[in-house]
Amino acid sequence: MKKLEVLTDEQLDLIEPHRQIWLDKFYKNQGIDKELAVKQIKWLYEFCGKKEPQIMFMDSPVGVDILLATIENKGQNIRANIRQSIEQNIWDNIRDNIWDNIGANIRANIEQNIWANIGANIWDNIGANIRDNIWDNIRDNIWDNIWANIGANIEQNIWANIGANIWDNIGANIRDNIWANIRDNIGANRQPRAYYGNCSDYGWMAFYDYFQSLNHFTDYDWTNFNQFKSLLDSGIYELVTLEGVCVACAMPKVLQDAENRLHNTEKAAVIFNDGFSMHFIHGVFITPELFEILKNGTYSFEDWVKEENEEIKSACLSFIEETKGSEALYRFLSAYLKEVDTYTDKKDEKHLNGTTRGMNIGVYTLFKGGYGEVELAFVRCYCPSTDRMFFLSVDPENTNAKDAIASLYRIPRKVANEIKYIQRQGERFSTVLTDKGNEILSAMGKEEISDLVHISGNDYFYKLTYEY
Amino acid sequence: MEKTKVNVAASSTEGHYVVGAKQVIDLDAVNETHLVKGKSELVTKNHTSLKMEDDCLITCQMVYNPFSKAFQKSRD
Repeated sequence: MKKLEVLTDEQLDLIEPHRQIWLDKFYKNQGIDKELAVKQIKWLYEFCGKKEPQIMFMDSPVGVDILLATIENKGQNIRANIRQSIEQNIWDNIRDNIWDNIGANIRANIEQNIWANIGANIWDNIGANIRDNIWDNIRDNIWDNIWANIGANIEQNIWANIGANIWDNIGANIRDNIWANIRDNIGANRQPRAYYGNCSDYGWMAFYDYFQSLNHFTDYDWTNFNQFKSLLDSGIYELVTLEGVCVACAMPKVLQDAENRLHNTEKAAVIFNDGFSMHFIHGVFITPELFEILKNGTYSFEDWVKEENEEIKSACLSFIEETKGSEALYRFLSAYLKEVDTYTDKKDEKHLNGTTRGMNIGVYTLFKGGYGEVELAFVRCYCPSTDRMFFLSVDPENTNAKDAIASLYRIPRKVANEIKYIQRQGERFSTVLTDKGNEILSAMGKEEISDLVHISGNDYFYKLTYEY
Repeated sequence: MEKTKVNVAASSTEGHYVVGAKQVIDLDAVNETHLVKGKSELVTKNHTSLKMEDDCLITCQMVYNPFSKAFQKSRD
């Protein structure tokens, strides 16, 4: 096989359209092609050495979960137990889909116990026999700079847009926020999704598909790759692969912000065909109840103060600013808080690498006030990575912004005087100690490590380097 | 060889992951204090990845709860 040493202008011109083809497979999907999906799922099972499965289709991941819970519970009273969590119209659609899948043969199906999940088997087979196999066969025949260029412009771009921002985010929030609320009531386990056979595969598949399209690696047998590509082309969002049964879920419609994070202030940012939807503000999941009060303007300052998650607090302020303007945001806060002091930490040019380089970086403003009998103090600051605005609650005893923001940093008391430098990523600090500090730390017991203190504003900003 | 990836932010929705360290030691599970040995990178969803060239101590930001009048771990 001749080494691919350079891409021609014509081949370079194909990069962007090729990326767009794969992005369009998701963003402009026309729904699931069930006939093709059935054919390719049968291929997948055969390829993995498994017997042909019964194939079921649902319109949302939650629909998939409820179908499997219905089977696991042998049809017992699922609806009654999750009435509060699933709206009637969505439930009706899910129920119809379940009926389509198992209704005609409900007794036979429901008498089954839930089948073994074969996701690990799919992982082994697709991983080794397609993904790794292509790597093994073509990697050494492509120059590093071409590999890196196509990796960045196709694989990583598509993974960031569809894999991380959409599939991972939706999956994590269904697990954490939806399933967590209903699992205790229906006594079922949530079946893990097959790692291969979902839209998070678009990144690596598009990457190899580009190289295939160059007609350079004609010695390589692309048959299995093409079969797997057809599975994705059928429009499946994700699969649950069980012994003898496979449940396929159709794609959602999604709305995103300019940075491709799930986002919409008018309606849900993720909408599945059965009506199941999810709200996101710049990639942060918020509950339908919170979205509703934000939208109808009844979200109160008290609601905001009581919200414990800083990402959600920031998202709520962003929602107000975006939908009602900066003036409304100012009024929302200024009715209860007054600006007291501002400190600007002018950063070295090198410490701006990896930030937005925006004018808000390093600007900290202390606000103080009260709500009823509760004394309040916040430091306003901006995320250097994204420019999102945060209001972090500090002790009202603070009188200046510099000490106030430093008061949120923590370090074990016994090494507080042995700090070499501090870095920060959101809510986490990374502190490098002096050699003496490391010696002290290695001899410290659990109680001493748990005894955390803060340092002065002067000390904190003298030691702070990178902040993201 | 696959790089090690350890979540040092158990209470975080998205997690903060130390990638590529020689060793990550959980010193205090309650306060989420970890000792990271070896050159590594701190990776999370909503922020730029942080290069950590030296052994370091990871701690969690605290915020003040005005109702309980006490500090608590900042949540993200």
